[in-house]
Amino acid sequence: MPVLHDNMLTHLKKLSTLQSNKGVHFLTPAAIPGSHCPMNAAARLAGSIQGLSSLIIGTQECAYYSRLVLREPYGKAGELHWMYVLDANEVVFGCREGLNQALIEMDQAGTKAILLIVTCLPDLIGEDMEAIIHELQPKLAARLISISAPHFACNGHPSGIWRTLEAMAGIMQQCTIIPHSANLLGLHAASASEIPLLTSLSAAGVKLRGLGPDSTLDEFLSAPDAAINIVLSPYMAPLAKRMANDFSTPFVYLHDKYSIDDIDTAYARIGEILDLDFGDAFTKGRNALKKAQERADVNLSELSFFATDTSLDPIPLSAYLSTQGMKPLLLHIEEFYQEDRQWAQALHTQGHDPLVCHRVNNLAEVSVFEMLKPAFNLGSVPPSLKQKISHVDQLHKMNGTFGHERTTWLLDKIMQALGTPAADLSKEVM
Amino acid sequence: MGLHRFHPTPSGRMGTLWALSSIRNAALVEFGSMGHMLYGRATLKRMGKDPDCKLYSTHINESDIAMGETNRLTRAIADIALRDQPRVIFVLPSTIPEMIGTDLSALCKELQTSYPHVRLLPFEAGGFNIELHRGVQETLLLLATTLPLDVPPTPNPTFNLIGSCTDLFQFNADTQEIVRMMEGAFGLKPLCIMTSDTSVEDIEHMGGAHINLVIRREGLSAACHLQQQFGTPLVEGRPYGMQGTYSWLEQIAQILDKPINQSFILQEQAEARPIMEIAPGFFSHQKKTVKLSIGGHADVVAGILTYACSELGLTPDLCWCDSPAMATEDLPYWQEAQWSQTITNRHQGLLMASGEVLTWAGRNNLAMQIANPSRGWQMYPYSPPYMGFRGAMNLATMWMNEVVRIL
Repeated sequence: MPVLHDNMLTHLKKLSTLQSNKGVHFLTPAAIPGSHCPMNAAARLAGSIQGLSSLIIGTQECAYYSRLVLREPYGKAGELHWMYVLDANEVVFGCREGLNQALIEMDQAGTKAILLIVTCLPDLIGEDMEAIIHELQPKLAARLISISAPHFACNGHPSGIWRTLEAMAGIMQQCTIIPHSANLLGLHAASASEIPLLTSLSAAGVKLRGLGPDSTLDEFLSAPDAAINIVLSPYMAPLAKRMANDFSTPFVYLHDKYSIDDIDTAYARIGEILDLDFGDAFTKGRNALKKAQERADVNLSELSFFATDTSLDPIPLSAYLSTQGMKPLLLHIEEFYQEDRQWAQALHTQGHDPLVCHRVNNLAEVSVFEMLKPAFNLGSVPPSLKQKISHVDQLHKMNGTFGHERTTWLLDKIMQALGTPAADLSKEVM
Repeated sequence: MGLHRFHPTPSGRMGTLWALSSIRNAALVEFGSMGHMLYGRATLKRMGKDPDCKLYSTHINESDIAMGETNRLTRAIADIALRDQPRVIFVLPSTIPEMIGTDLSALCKELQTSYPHVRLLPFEAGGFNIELHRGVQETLLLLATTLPLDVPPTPNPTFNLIGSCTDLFQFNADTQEIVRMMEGAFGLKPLCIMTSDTSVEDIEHMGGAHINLVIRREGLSAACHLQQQFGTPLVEGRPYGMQGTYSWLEQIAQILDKPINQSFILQEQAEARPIMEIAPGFFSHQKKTVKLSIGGHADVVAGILTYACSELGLTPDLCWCDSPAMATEDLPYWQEAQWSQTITNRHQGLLMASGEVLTWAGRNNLAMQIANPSRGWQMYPYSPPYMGFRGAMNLATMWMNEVVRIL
């Protein structure tokens, strides 16, 4: 395999200069296999929310391949997952008329709410979905929401998820707030029983509602009755912000909090909003994390790393790891969120400004590893380098989990990979 | 186009991608959003083909579109040429470049001088009114007109199989049966199986074949071109049934001026006899007339139906094809509105169609599938064929069991 030239990375930006997804360039030139598109992610999500129908609007490719994830045209709870394919004429003159007819037909079939997923081509020709919805909504019983899901506007798929979730706020209605209630945005059901915050909230009589891919349409629609949104996933942050704007629902981010101070501050804010005193509910987890940090301290100091796992939220995570002495060299960015700027600034303050990239060919990356020589990788490494570079994979297990326990778990995994058991916890807690 | 509840007909671009994806010693780069290639690859695997051609995508962003930039493609081709050193790089547009009118032919021509050892071959079956079958047809024709070298006939007789592409359901099994029969009946080996099991080198040398077997009408223009260029005779048709297959072999024998190995035929007939002695009587003695409804590729439908009716005595019921360009009075093109309203779970008789149609009709026996889209993964490489002598046995047995199951 040819070694790439020394200047092969000059096309990449430093994190500090990044303003949006547009600044995230491919690590290597040709994608194989590349990343999923927002349409695919939105379709998958639509298929998992019981009661939500979908209409994919695009070319034959989009419609045909969407069936890889939305296999059935009819859902078990009466959902419709249909497709609108533009013909050659509509590619030039727009598809407004045909789309109106299609939505009327779906409405007549009895669907409750329809998510319009607008793919590359209709987005490019500027078909105004909001205008179509505005005009048609009064005539339909089904509630309409739309998302723009062109792949040319991003590299990865997350916008298909967060835009869909954010759009759900558009059909929520103001309701009476239940004082002791909280939405857990992005909760993974498997982790619910193991995290002290949730057991404490339950013990205090707080009505909890998990909102995520497995929720029903009705659960989403009644979400504004909660006193707080606790955000456990970056995909959910835009929904929380919109609900704060539309329904004045306060929110607290936990998905991007890894340090003891940040977690404690977030927990305190939750207690303040819900008027709760958590007492020493989090002491055990806090102490365990403190010990994990102390034991990891020497090993992590000056440990250079890449973060290449596509399931990571890498910028806040790297900001935390840099406080433990680790040195980020290169981050794979699946999606750049506006909130990431504060974490980029935090990294910069620590003296770190890693390269940012979008990975598209793991075999071609060998030269990048050899050139920058990271000591560690958060994510898998090319097969030829597995013996040379310590790494942790399966990091998607962190998604939807949070708090002291998540950070402890991560440090434990890193230390295991480095060959030194770190945490007091001898077993995985996630 | 408009509203679809089921898979729409694939585009010409998809047909081109699927047809090229199986060519070894080549790479394919699509100028466009990378999601498309990811799903194309996943679909190919489900259809039974782990792509032999390395499938790349450039991706594209708003600036590329607004400025008409093609740097991504230039960089991708440079990287692929350096890293993989393929004989040929196929260059395809996805929908966005197709819409904004990116001239891939001009770009490839410009770049070609930089890559003397790699052929850049642009494909442009990208119009929004071009569907799967025309995409396959144009792809086969472009391959036949650009890659074959001026070679003499092979010393030992060989054949090309034109039109075995991944989009055809059971392409692997049917191709293997044809290869087996050509070896048994004539001692002929394949030179190029275009395109499901071939390489750039095979296509380059396909002019050396003694006969071209065209198993779908989309391959005819490619075969006609090869006939003009190399004088290679052709036989068009899909061999179904015992008699149908023998007639097909007779055509080949006549063109090759070579007798059919009768001991092979006797052996095949002996093997099929237990089934063929029972099947016609089995169907004719049913209380209800055994009807066969069938929908899919026009050549597949026509071939299987002819076998079912003329050799086994089944009665044709509803028949349709999946391409408007191939529709006739006897074999109309049905869009989903027609088949989904006509073929329901109340439909009686045997039904062969795509996995999607069978599922819609409440048929659990996906062994009766003859077309894509499929409901499952067609990954097992040794499925029984539908074509040829073994296909005749397979179909007859399958229909008998289906009669037992549903009638």
